[in-house]
Amino acid sequence: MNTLKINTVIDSIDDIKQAETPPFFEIRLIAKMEQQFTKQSAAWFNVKKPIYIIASLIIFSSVNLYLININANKNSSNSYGKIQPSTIESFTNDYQLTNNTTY
Amino acid sequence: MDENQLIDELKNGSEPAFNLLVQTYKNMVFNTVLGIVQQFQEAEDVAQEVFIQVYQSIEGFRAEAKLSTWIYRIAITKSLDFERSKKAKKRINLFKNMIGLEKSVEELVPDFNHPGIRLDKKEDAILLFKAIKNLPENQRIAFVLIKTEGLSYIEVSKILNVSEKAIEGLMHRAKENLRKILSKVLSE
Repeated sequence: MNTLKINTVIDSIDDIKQAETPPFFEIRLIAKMEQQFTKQSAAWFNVKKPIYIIASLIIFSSVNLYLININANKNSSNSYGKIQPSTIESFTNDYQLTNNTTY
Repeated sequence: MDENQLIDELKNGSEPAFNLLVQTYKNMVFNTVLGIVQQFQEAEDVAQEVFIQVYQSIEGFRAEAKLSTWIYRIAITKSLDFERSKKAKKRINLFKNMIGLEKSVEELVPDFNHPGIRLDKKEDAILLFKAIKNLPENQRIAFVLIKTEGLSYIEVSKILNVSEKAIEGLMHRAKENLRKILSKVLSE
């Protein structure tokens, strides 16, 4: 009895007809597509995306390193960095550092 | 317009070609998704997602399989993804209920009534679709494609990328499992 019923249940979809899409399926599909693609194009530049955060960090640190490098080069080639003997002489002359002053 | 022409037009972004594609395959996609998802509104949403995916991925379609085979694959993947995310949401809600974050609201799933079933077989078909839900994924897909879409074993083997023998095996195991599930249900 049970086996017969099981077979009837299994065979119940043997002559099934294909289900059809609900009315206005295409209209809703096009609307959904337009909505999705508008969202996508609006969100193409999302600052919160990790790729943009990482890129900004890389650019920021590169600019920083570049500026530090330029500064270091400036300092090393700067006349203030090197003490020229002529400068010392003129300095001592100007301030009369050769004279011993007793207080 | 033959299939190759249609594919070329689709790759060129032609709107009339896309409309033709939707017209040609909408019932096939909807019926397949409906057989797996077993809910009308959700099946419509998933079917729409299938066509959006087709539109976005047609550029990469190499015509190694028939267009319909490729669309069937997308429809199956989308349906299964949908089911998995639904199950995951259910698990999260259950967990929230357990830790008291959310009040328990039991979701009532209505019986699935396929519109293509003859009136005198409706009740039996409701039982069968309930049982189909409990089959393992690959058996369920094979059973739905063969029984509700009326595809041949060869066609299903191409869609699932397995041998015809494997499909025979899947169908055999699916029927055996259905018998077990139904005998339990009917003896309750």
